[in-house]
Amino acid sequence: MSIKFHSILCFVFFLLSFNQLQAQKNYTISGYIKDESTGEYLPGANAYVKETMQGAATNAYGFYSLTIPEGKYTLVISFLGYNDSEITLDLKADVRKNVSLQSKAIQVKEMVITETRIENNVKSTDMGRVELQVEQMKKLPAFFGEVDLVKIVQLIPGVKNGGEGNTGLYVRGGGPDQNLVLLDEAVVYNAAHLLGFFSVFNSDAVKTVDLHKGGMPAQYGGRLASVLDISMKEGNNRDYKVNGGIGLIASRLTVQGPIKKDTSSFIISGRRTYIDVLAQPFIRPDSPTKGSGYFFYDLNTKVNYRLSDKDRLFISGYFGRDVFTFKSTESNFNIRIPWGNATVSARWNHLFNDKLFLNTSLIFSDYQFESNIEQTAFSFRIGSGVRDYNLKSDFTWYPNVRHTVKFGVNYIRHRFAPNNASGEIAGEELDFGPTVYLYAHEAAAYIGDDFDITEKLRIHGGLRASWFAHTGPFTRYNLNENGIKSDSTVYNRGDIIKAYPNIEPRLMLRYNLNKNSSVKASYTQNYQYIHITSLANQSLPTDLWFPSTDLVRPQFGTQYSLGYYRNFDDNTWESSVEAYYKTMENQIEFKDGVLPSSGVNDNLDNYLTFGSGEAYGLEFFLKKALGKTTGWIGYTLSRTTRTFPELNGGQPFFARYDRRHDLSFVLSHQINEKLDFGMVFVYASGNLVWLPNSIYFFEGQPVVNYGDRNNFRMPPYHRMDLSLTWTPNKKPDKRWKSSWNFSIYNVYSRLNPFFVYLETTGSVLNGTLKNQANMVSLFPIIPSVTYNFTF
Amino acid sequence: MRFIHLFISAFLLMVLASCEREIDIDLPNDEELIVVEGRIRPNEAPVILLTKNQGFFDAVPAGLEDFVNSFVIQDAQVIISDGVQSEQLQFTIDFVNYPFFYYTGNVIKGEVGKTYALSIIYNNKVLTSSTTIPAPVQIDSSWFGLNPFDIAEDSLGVSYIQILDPDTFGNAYRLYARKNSFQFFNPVSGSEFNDDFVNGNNIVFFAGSADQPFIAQDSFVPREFFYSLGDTIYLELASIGRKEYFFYATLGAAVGSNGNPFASPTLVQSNIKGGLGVWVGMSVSYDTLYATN
Repeated sequence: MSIKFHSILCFVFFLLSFNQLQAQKNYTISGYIKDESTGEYLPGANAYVKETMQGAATNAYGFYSLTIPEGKYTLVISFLGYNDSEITLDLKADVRKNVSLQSKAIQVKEMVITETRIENNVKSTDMGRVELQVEQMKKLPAFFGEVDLVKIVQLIPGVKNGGEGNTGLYVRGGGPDQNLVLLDEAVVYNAAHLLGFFSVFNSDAVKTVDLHKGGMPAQYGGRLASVLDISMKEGNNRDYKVNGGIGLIASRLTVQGPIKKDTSSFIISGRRTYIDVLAQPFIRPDSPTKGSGYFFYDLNTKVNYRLSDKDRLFISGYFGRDVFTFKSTESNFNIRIPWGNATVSARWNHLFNDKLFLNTSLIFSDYQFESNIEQTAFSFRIGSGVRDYNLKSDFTWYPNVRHTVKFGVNYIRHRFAPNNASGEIAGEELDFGPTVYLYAHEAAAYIGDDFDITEKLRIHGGLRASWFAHTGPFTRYNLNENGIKSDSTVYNRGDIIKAYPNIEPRLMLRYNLNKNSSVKASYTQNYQYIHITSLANQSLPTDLWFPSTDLVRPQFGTQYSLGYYRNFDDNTWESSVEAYYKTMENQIEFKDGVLPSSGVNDNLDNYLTFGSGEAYGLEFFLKKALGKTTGWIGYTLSRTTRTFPELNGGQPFFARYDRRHDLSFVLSHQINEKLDFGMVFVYASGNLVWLPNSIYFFEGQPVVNYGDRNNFRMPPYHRMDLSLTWTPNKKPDKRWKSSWNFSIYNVYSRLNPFFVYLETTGSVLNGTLKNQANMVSLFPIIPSVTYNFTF
Repeated sequence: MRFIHLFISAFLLMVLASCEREIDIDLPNDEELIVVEGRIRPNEAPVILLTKNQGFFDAVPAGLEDFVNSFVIQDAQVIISDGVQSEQLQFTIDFVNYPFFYYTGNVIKGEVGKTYALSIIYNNKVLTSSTTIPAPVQIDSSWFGLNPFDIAEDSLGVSYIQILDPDTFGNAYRLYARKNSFQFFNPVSGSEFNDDFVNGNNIVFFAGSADQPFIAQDSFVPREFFYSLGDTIYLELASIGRKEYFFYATLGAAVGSNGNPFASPTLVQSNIKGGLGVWVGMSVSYDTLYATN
């Protein structure tokens, strides 16, 4: 019997187990957990009954529901960074208890705080899930005045950045297109500004960051490697607040406040860099960078309205752009390259009753990349992008305290624009063929249950049914045996050219060995229907997204992981060891010998070839969560290879981003009441590059010859960053609060390899021929000062 | 299209890059490989230059003589066959005809439409290949035009060439040129194309001047790339086969990617089994034009 049918049977068994709890009369305690001063809902807070230690976490909208037998209980609500709240109850009927928690940051002196040390890492089933609360992250080293979410995520074992300048996230041996990055449920296709130096997420506007790297639960799908789920703050619905920062490189401002107190609020957050303007006077006139400019800006906005006790409405939007310009000072040559994401999500929460919660979202997501080149009489524009229209409904059902059942449906309409070009030369329009769009449907239905089988054993069992179809209008250029276009098949709007239905089982379990330690295991399967191709060795904003088609089958991944989690000293220290093994099918690369002219008036996927991948590794993690000094060390030992029948002679080769070792060390220390110190140190083996092995001459021209793929490992990447935050006046009653942040990126100015390439210069005739290897680095030591304020 | 992306990426990142320096690295060595520059034309004996590769960081030739001594293979066994008879070719040094150091014979001469098999034995390696000489295609007309890209000086330009591609499938072309009193025809880089998109049509294309051999094309000097007013331009249009076209096209991409860090590694598609390079049967047509306004 295949594992998929087996999982369906297991499901039925789990659902039947509900029957046994009918004996006694059960009542439901439910409600929303909020931050007392801002009114923000708190996802992931713990609501549990002190007497039985049974409970649940609040969902993404701060809602919890516990169905337990009647009786007298103490309900405890706790959340990292907040003081616990305890409520005594005599449960004789269903009761709604909304609770506001007081943030620890606002402490009245001499109050004795009791606190449940959080054991989430030990208790939750989500294998390989890391939850970051942005307010907690603000203790971490801040660069350019703000904490960068994606940079912090890259410090977690198993997650690598691609190296300097690389915009992608590489999680457990997977490629940069294999991560689902969500901002208030909208997909963000390119989560990086300035080549990965800044992420597109303004931490002032973000509430929580959840990373799933070890198998994602059934409500997520569409990518193989990970989910980075980011939710925005709703906006303080009690009081107006303005905060921001002015820095050397970038500035930001956030305004939030109530539209109607306790009912409706808004938040607007914006950011811009101006390093190009500031640097101009310092660039030498003959430098190639003179005349070039680069800036980015982004804007996050959100409005929410609580219609009633049962209904809430949220509308959030993100708009960001990076713009690179270059104006040659000598000739009439201009380049302007803008790129960026735009997303809008409209969400409606509805509580059917105390046990059934629904969120329905309507989402628009758009990513564009455009290049405009002008040279006197010649102008040229090439653009590419992705646009999604998405409708989804997610239910959470809390039948009793042992089950949390999530189920829902999701539909996305994709539109891809691969390289549409236009231009003119001396007034004459150039013909690059008609504008081409690719269309696809992507849909899914899922059900998953977090089931506490016994006090010690919890299982997440989930099943996701996904479906993808490439639809017309589309022209398929058929190639004959010589590999050239012979004829074409035209599909009309709405025609289904190829459909892929699939089932994805998800199974995760956690077994508590004792109060402080647990063992977790997971087995998950995922399909991915949209992909990036990249010819370059780097992940760049120019990377193209395209759908599965009749020639390109969906990527398919299976992940097994096993981990041991142990907390010490009453949860002061957290530690874990996780091992994973992944297989990936239908991985995509370009064929060898693809010419630059390929793809003109042709289908991109005629030039692709397919293979498989394998990744495995061991992740070690030790974290000190409490105290004046906090931080963590993460170390990953890993390996990832690819095997393609048509590449590298069919022999396995290392993936470009195979990095044997990856170490992160993060430290935060509160020196005194006014000074906070932060340090980050990272070390990673270098990325791989495919360099030629030998050189020969043909018609007098030097030609390089390539052998095995990805044969050269660049020097290791390591870097230390330091930051100091000085808060001169920490009086809690003052309205205007400010602090200075001094930070240095790359303290010992290591010129880390961005890429290595070979070059031949000179002439044989006069004996000046030279073969050399060059290494390009991006960011040397970069100090910065930022003034942060809030009022 | 993809080329534009790479150009843009290269451009964008080169400008943003803060530092570039030369470094010492170790690369694994390839085995010894033989490179064939061989051609056969109607009424001519075959001309084959054999050279070999070397490790990227091995000592570079310090001048032409050094190049000949380290790269040129002088003692291989080279045999050509036209299906009826075979001939072993002899190594010749001849400074009158390019490529100066080559294997040639005096029995078999090229004929349009015939297929020629080549086999080479050297150092226990055996290389084989085969090519057919296509029918020549005439240059209908050619003229000089000022360069369409408005780069640098106004007096520079390109040659325009018009041909009629035969209706048959699989025609391909490559342009060779020389100007003024220069003796030898050299290939014009980027001038190769085939009739996949333009079969049977009248084709007009333009081309700059030929590359100078043995000088790495690592910088763009307009005077060398274009023709100047007053030049006398001699054109040689070669008709070649489809496989040979793919060799030249991928070769051009490989050579053109020198110094571009974003170029994806181009594997040159050689038609030599067991070696590198090309064995090409070609027929040629000529034209002369004068660079005037």
